[in-house]
Order: sequence, then structure tokens, then C-alpha cells
Amino acid sequence: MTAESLDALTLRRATRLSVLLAAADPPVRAIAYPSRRVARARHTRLKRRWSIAALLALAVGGAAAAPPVRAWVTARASDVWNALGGHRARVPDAPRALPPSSVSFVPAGGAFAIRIAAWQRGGRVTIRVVPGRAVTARAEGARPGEWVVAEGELTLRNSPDATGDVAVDVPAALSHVTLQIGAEPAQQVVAGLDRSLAPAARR
Amino acid sequence: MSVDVPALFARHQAELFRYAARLLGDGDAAEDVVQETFVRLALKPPREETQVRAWLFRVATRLASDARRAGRRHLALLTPERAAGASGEPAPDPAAGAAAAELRGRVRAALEELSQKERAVLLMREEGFAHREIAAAVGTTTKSVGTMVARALEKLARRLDLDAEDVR
Repeated sequence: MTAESLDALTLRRATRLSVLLAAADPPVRAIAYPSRRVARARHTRLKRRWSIAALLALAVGGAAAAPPVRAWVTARASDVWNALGGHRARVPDAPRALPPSSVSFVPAGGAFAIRIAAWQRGGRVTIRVVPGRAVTARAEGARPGEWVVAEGELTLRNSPDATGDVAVDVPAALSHVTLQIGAEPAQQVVAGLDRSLAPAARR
Repeated sequence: MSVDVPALFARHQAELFRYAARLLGDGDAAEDVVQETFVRLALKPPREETQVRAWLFRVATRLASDARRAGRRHLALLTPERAAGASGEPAPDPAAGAAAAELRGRVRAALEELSQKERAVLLMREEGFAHREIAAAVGTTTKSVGTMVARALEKLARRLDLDAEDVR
């Protein structure tokens, strides 16, 4: 096949593929501009830059200071370093203020556990693996329960009478995510996990 | 460079969603990729405003690649119900919906046979990018983009009857 006929073949195939792709596209979505995520990311970056500047200033000042002052400077530098995430035993970021049935935060570490305290009368739990760094959880319905965030885990203290759905987005950066409902053993979470919260529908 | 991120979002989000949805085969994941891409644009925009579109697609390609890797790690228990509805909402007319779903499934399965890089190359070309821009986005040489496009189309030609007289 000559180069010219190969080009023509490629062009013909590409044209036909365009038609198929357009016909197979999912419906167009009205995607919301992520203004909150942008604001939060800008705030975090600004805070980090100021902290680094403070750390540098303390390092320079500390090197030139007398011993008692140097000790004070070292203690402040240590605080800043820990605030920057340099300390090994990191605690999760403070949960972001959202409606009472929602919570969003950046987890520390690679493993993460989701616990739902009780089986409900109805509802489903859906867990999605998403890009980014934040865990976002939402419980719907009349009595959605209360989210409790701890290091490496998120618990929904829900009522057995609840019937609302629960949705949790976990970041792809996590290496290991488990889900536990009631007293059942924890199970590995999978992309797009979607299961019933009602005990009657249990396998 | 200072950029008007909401204006750029309004201008590019639809084409970026289409690209990410084709790349991932999952509308929800594509939406996340689009939003995260614009968060990154707000934090660290490219130096040249003329490069914004290529930059957006380059970042989306990387995020989609990360999302696919994460998804594959947990794919073993992916529920069939979820997988079937992954590409988008069903059409209102049941017959048309079934035909659209069948076509979507066929195209999706064919795209899945390509490597991540081949898929990105082919779909960025579909969005009208030059070989130089595609090469920068997927981390390859400009020269090899043409070869990758031809190879990818060769694979798809068999699965999707691209060489038939009448497609569909």
C-alpha cells in the first residue's frame, strides 16, 4: 500500500469513527463550575505558601539568635513544620462545613474505612472512586444520621428506621478502602459499589 | 498569566466532558475529571493563554489515566447494573434507547481494546488537535502520533466495520 493510499484509508476510517463516536456519546450534561473546590484549593495553597515563608524566616532568625531565643524559634518552626504536614502522625483536615447530612475532608494516609453503624429499613449506599484528594459523604432522607470523622475512618451514626440513600466519594489516591455495615465484616470497596442498606435485601 | 476560569469553564467544559467520557466510558467519572481539571487551571494556569485548550486536555488526559488506574484496582466487584449504566442516562424512547445502548456498548468495547495512550491520541485527534499538541499531552514524539493513530484505527476498523461500505 502506498503512503498516499494509506493516508486516504486512515482519513476514511477516522471520518467513519467520528460518526460512530458522536452517535454513541452520552447526553450532554450541565456541569456546575466547581467554585467551592477552587476556593478551597486556593486557600490551602495560600496557607501553605505563607507557612513555608514563615518557616524560612524562622530558620534564618534562629540561626542568628542567642540560645534561649533559638530554642523558642525551634519550637515555633516545629509547629509550622507540623502544620505543613511534615509530622508523621498527621490528623485529618478539619471537616468542611456543609449541610448536616454531608461531610467533606482530605483523609490522611492511604487506607480508609467507611462504617455505617446500622442496617436501615431502606436505602442504598453508593461508593465512587473519584479524582482529587477529598472524601465527600452525603446521607439523604428524613433522618440521615450523623457523620463522624476520625483518622483513617468515617462513620455514619444512622438510625435503623432511616430509609435514605448514602453516597460516599473516595479519592483515587487512597490505596485501600473498606466498607462495614452494622456488625458485618468489613469488605473491600470497589469502583461504583452500589448495595442495599436494608437487611432484607442482604445476600 | 491571570485567566478568567469561569469563562474558560463555560467555553470548554462541554468538549472536555465529551473527551473524558469517551476516554473513560463513564459520565460520572468524566464529570469529576472536568471539575478537577478546572480546579488545577485556577491554581496554576499555563503561561500562554493561546495554550489553554491544549493544556486543559493534557491535564484531563492525566486525570483520566489516574481515574482508570484507580478503577481497575477495584474492578473485580464492579456490579453489572452499574457497569451497564456507566456511559450515560437511557434515552426516553425504549427502542431508540436500546439501539443507542447497543451502539454505545459496541463503541465502548472497541475503544477498550486500545491502550490508554492510543485511545487518548485518537480522541484528541477527534477534537481537532495537532500532532504536536497530542504528543505533548500523552508524552510521546510528534512523529509517532501519526503511526499511533493509524494503528488504533486499524484495530477499531475490525471491531467497528470502519472499512465496510455502509457503517451502522
